[in-house]
Amino acid sequence: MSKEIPCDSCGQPATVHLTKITDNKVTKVHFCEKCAAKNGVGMDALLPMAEALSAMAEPVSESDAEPPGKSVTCPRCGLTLGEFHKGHRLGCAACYSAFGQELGALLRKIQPGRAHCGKKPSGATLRIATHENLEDVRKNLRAAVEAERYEDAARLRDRIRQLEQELSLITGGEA
Amino acid sequence: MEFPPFIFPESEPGAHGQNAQPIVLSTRIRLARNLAGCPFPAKARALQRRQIQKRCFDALATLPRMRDGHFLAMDSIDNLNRTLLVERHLISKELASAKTGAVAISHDQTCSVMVNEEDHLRIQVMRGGFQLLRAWRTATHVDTALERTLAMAYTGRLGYLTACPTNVGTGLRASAMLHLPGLVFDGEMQRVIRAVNQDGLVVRGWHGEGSESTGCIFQVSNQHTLGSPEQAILEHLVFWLRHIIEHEQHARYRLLRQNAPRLVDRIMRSYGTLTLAHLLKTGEAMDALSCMRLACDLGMLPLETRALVDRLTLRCQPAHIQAIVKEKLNPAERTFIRARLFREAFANTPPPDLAFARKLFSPSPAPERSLRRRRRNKPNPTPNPPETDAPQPEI
Repeated sequence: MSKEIPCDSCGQPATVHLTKITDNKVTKVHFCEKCAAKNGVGMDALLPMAEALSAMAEPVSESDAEPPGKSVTCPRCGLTLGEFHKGHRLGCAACYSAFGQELGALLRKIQPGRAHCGKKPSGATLRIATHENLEDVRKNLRAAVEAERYEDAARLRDRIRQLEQELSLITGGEA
Repeated sequence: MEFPPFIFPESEPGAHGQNAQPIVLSTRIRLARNLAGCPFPAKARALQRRQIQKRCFDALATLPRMRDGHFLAMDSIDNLNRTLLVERHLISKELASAKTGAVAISHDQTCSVMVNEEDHLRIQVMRGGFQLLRAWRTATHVDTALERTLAMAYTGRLGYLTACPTNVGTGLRASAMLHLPGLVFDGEMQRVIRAVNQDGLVVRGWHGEGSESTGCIFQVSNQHTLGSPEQAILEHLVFWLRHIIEHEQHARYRLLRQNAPRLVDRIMRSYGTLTLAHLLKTGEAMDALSCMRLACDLGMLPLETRALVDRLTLRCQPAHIQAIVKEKLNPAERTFIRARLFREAFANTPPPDLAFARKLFSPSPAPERSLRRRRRNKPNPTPNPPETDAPQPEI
């Protein structure tokens, strides 16, 4: 068992421990419940959503920070990474692939899972999603062939066949 | 001054044709969706937003649930009406303050679909009492029906794409509005909030994000949307809601056993305020109503008073007061009208009955059958386990 940490303010056993990082300096504060409320380390500071949003405001790691002079921009809607860090909102569906690396790191912080495993789409959504997926896989296949990664290419070719079959089932053979 | 006709039917969040229940006022499901191939509302041009609104409204108009519903563009209604919709939880504050944006509200007001809020579509379903699964079934049904004609932004890996990454995946936010006077009076609320926060849930005030809690009403919702199927997200929330309900009942029992005079004094003073006051601010009215609801749960007031309390909780809000008297009022005038409304409403309610000790607890909310199984290895939301002689809720 670790030793009990006393409250910074009154010396009672501390139950609220807050670690703040400002300008690369780490400050730690420890409060008992009463002193935490007095010092404003209450509900707001403990809301995970607030934490999640502040995590979004900061670049997720040094390598993700925008390099000077170069800014990642979404080719479809024109949103820059800087704008996203400021407003916490993406501009369009294509932003998810444009900022793939940064978003991946952020999503790992704010979401417990890496991939969706919930409701499967149907109707028009399924049709479009399968179609877009097919386009992506075809692009990957071309890249694999160019790079002479033939094992990958064979796997992707099988995937394309499977997706084409799915698409023709969804669209009733029109694709 | 004109008000749309849908304001007056008594379909409050606590009602919806159900008997008002103790502790759980209402449950809500929200699904965030965006149309494939269109920029999200914040990046869309005015013309694009209008086209998106038209496409969404056309698709919504074909749904049986939306028959005789209300289709309202925000720029077609005035400020007061927008506030009225916010107070009824039919639209968000963000939509009310946006220049463009619209909402489709079903005739019975259980389902509202916001268009061009943060996302193109925000499907919301509200139900009185503890009915998360039922609300989910309705919401997913509406979503599936819309998908027949509208292609949503979706990828196999990330699921439904949303403007904010905190919603990506399922786009699901499930929440329950809880009335927790026992935990508030007992000073236990902060501890409960901290415990549920650590397990992926968020506790907010009466009007959602950024709002303060008034009248001991808290909204508990899931925080994470990616990586778990909807059913698991709902089960996780239900598990914690049951825990909170249990702790609230224990807190009430503790208060009655250890501090009954204080509790009874609070209830009687609130009754006095509501039946005699001539000036009432919203916050004061909400706190007094909270005590009246607690009195109903403890058997000190007739059970039908609970529905009256829920209705008044809604109608004591500023825009509702103005809608009731059909004129614009300043805050001072509102406090006067509010007090009059309450005196009239409680005129036939007898004072709280003090011979309540033998019926300490009213029945707990009916459990949702498929979720009756309790998960194991879950931490206890409060470090001190409740007393063993405290009555167990009938779950």
